[in-house]
Amino acid sequence: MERIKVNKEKNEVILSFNEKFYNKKFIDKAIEEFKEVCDAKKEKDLIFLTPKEKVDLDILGYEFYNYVLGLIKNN
Amino acid sequence: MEGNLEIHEKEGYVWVSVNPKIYSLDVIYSASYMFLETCYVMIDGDPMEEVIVELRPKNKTGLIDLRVIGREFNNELVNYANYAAQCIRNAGIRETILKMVLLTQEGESAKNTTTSETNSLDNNPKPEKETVVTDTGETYGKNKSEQGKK
Repeated sequence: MERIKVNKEKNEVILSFNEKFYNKKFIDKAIEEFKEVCDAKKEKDLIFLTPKEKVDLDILGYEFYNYVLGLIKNN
Repeated sequence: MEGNLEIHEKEGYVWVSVNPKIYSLDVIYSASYMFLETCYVMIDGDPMEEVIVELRPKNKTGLIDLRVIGREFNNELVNYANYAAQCIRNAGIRETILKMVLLTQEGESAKNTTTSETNSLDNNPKPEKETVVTDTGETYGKNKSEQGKK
């Protein structure tokens, strides 16, 4: 399952979520709360995260995934 | 593949295959949540057929540790499934206890209100009417006998 793809040229990480497990409202909330860390763009079912500072793109993607899961569990 | 674990040592993650007919989505979420501090967790698959949980340790580990992580996850599934089953079993008793507690509290608060109202009446008697003296020297109020005195 390749849900996290890194595009080093564009300095962005592309995420896809299985909507059966990750509700859109929690993804949107996570995007909102990651505003200080990165810019987010949604295209169809994909989310493009562009960090504002130099970070490991893989880590950014994984941390975002974890954050969404945390929101789901805490709701 | 070892049981329900698929270990990807080079890539540094383990896939845990979970049967959603045995472990509900809530249980899977709860078990996954326990690993957020030490691993990156991703959930995929089909909630009706097979759920795949990817556990990727934040600190790179070897084959043995990936196996341990996968097995620990299985343990957490059992743990939370047991907790969920107990919650269902105890739901009736819990509701009864809560109702009893609430009824008791309502009774006590009613008693306290009655007692405090009685006390307030005893300690704060109604004030007497004030005596008002006008410019013409007329007095109104309780002490009319003082009329004209200045």
